Amino acid sequence: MEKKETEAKKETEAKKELTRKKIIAFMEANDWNYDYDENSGVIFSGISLKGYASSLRYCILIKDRIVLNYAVLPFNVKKHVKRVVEYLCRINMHLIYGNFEFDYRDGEIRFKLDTSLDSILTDEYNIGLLIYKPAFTVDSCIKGLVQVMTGIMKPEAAIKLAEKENDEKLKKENDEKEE
Amino acid sequence: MGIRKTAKLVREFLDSDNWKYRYINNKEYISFVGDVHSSHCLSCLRVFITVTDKEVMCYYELPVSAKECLPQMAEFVMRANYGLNTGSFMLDFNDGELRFKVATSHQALEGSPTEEMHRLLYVPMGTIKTYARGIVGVLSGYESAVEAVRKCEEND
Repeated sequence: MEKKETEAKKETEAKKELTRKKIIAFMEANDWNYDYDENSGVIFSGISLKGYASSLRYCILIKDRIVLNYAVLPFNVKKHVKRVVEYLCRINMHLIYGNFEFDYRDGEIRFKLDTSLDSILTDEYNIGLLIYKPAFTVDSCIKGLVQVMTGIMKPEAAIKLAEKENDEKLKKENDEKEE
Repeated sequence: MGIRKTAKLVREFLDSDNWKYRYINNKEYISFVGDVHSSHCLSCLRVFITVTDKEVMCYYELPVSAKECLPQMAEFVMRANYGLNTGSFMLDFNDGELRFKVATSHQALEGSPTEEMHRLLYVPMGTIKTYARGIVGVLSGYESAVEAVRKCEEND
């Protein structure tokens, strides 16, 4: 029994190691800067976005069965907490992959995306999703978030504006593709 | 991988696991709808597995409406979601509906169907069970969101 458990543990560790290597190889191939902390097993990275969220910090955690990517936004919410939470709830309703989280202790906002270890190992598409999706999602709702945080807009209005702008962006991209 | 091929994998898993479901075949998506009867206080959950051309989504619809306590439930949902590994609770501010969602890609489901179906179907059940009493506590007004989440996580 003990032997079986040790073998299973070894297998899990090997899988985690392979997952880490695959993620790092993807990041290197796509010119992402990263740091790997051997002690915690966390891959740290980030991306610069145009506009409001100038820098988005990534923390990629590889657990026994799943991989989590936390994209941490560069500000803390001190005022209008209820409104911000409402905005995040409304945004989360629209999302297919991942969700926004709010830390009531310090007002930190982060976007979480989880995927299984197996999905990373079976197809590179899933690594792309893990790395790029958080940046795209944050980028599409950051303007509304800032407007709610600063008290300029109510959550419902900010969502409508974000939807309108994203529709326009999508239409523009499609038009460009057709041309 | 197309909608039909992924839907076939979902169907095979559900059949082998003795699930009863309704099959909805649309042009743009294929859905499987079933009911789950649980032993906790949110006893009847409706589950939707929807396969679109881009992804596979699993939603658990909770049999409650938080329309009368939206701010409190929003706080509960945010606090409960914080630190969850798989999936998240969702609150619809328009009608107070509560859901739990997990999504995956066609590629992931094709790569390891059993593992992914387990992640889509069974992990949410465990999470809902953990937080069910807290949801009822907040809905009834007996507990604050912070207290309800703390108690749920203590008892987990």
